[in-house]
Amino acid sequence: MSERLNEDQPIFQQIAELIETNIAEGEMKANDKIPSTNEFAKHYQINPATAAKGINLLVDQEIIYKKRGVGMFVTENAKNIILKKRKSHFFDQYVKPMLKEAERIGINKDQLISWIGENK
Amino acid sequence: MMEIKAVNVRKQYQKEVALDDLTITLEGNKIIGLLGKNGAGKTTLMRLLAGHFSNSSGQLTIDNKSPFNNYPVLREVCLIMESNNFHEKFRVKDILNISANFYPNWDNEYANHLVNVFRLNINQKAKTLSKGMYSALGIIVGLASNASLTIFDEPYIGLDASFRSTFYDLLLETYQNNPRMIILSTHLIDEVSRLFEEVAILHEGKLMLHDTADNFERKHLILTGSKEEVDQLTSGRNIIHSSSIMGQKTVVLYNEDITDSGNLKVSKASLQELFVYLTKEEVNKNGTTNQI
Amino acid sequence: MVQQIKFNMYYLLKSSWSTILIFWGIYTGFIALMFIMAFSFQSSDIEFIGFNTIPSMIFTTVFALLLFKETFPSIIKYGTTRLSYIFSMLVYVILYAVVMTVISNLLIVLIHRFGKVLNITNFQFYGLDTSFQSSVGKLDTMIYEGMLYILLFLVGFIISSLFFRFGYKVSAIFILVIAMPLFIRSYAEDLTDLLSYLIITTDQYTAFAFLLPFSILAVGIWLITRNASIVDKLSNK
Repeated sequence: MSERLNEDQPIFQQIAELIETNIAEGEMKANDKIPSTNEFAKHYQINPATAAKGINLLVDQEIIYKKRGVGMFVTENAKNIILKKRKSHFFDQYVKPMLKEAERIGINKDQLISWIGENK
Repeated sequence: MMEIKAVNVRKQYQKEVALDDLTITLEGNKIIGLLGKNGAGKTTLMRLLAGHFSNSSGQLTIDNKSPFNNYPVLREVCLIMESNNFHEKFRVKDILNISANFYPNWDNEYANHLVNVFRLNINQKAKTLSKGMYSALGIIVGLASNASLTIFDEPYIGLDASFRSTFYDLLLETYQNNPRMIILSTHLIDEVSRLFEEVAILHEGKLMLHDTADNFERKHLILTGSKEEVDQLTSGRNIIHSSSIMGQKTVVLYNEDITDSGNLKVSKASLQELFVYLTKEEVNKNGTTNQI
Repeated sequence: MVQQIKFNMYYLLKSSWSTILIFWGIYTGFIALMFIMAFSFQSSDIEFIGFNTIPSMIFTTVFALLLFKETFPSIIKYGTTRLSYIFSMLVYVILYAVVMTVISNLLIVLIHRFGKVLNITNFQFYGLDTSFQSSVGKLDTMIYEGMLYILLFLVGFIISSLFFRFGYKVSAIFILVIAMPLFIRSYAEDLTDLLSYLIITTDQYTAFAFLLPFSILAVGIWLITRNASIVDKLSNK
């Protein structure tokens, strides 16, 4: 988890996404302990309240659960939830902009499809 | 829990008005950014809080008590300014001893640790310290004071980027180990904006904006696109900055809900950029408003 | 309040003891030099004269001027009250007078001893007592010397605080107004009569008479500083 934060998105959201990516990639598995709010704050030099807000976003989505006095852990179902969510965002986040740019510079759909075919 | 309340506070030095009708409430153990252009009244506000002088009119209280000439309040307040914090004749160790004597929650072990972190020579006299090391000394006193209200006013003149980063780490560390209200005033907004939980912007002696850092981020919007489209969508809105080039126009909106941005590109500005948009003089001359 | 005074005293002592020491160091060095000269010119008829109290009195005034300027803003910056500062200053000045009197008298004793041991006759060194015509007791002289230190200290202090608070112009006008009666003959005569109570060689003299100028000065300092900003009007720092 050492990706850098940027200005394009709220920091707390970026923190949440960083954790999600880690879980999605399998770096962190179910019941693994995630770093504390303070560790996040220190690592990224951000206000602890911001880090907490990002983590709470994941708690609300049942990706992370809190154990009082022990810390925060990845839920059993975390990876599925994240993948499901990301899949549903995939079209908006990646396909749409790609199609838009393709239209702008005059690449037709067949060309796009053939590129996608080649890559596999 | 700390509560600072200013109601219609005015401070005038002979002819110059430094604070003009300032009303603001700050509360809770938070790291608060106090921003403003030169001469906006930041330092005056902070010095009033530290009891350096009294306000000309209005009420200023810390936990419902006026700080001026009030020892029980002021021993819980530590203000570190960019210069003139300490008696020049004193050695570093004298200054640390005196501070240890004054602040009830002083952490001596931590102070010694910080002296090593910043590589200060405790036998050196304050006036022979380099600018950076003088700043470091101020930072050490501020951090180790553990004062319920710790205020840093541009505390790092002459401190290099690496030590500044160390300072931010330490600030978070001390805040987490010892939650308290920390007010930080700075011009290097980009470096510290992520440390702030709340931000207050002073402008010409008045409060311009006071909100959580989150809200600053949430409430503004940069729209970019063709001039006609942008104008159509943003006319009559609260525009704090606009510029156009080659038929493309960029507009920064504040506190406006735009649900459908159509073909326009939406992006976000940093706190520093927002600050500049809000306070830069040009904005007024162009006839666009910066009223929030 | 006690806690504040303790802190202020700690600060005042810490910031000033070395200055006092340096003064006496330089002064003793100077006398030692005179001694050596007197010793080496013993056969000739050159006479050396030294006065003990004049340098230390001048020092006291200047010292007080600087002490206020240096310590007032930096102590108040920490957060003790202005009232506690004044109280601490009063405690300090008494201590100061005692220390100065003791040192200056010790020095005289030492010098006389030295003179005898080395058998130096061409070096006359005067303390306060030897300059009086009439004979005044040793203890009374020492109390008198202490009182003078306090008086000069307070005068230096009040002038310094006046300039600090009001700047050059206002302070100068203020001092002129205060000094005005001196130029009116009848007042001036009354004043000289009053002053005679403070001069040890007069019959009316009593050490208690000093309490009046002391309280006037102390109240004056209090009025000037009780709501003073710590921004120096002279330098605007």
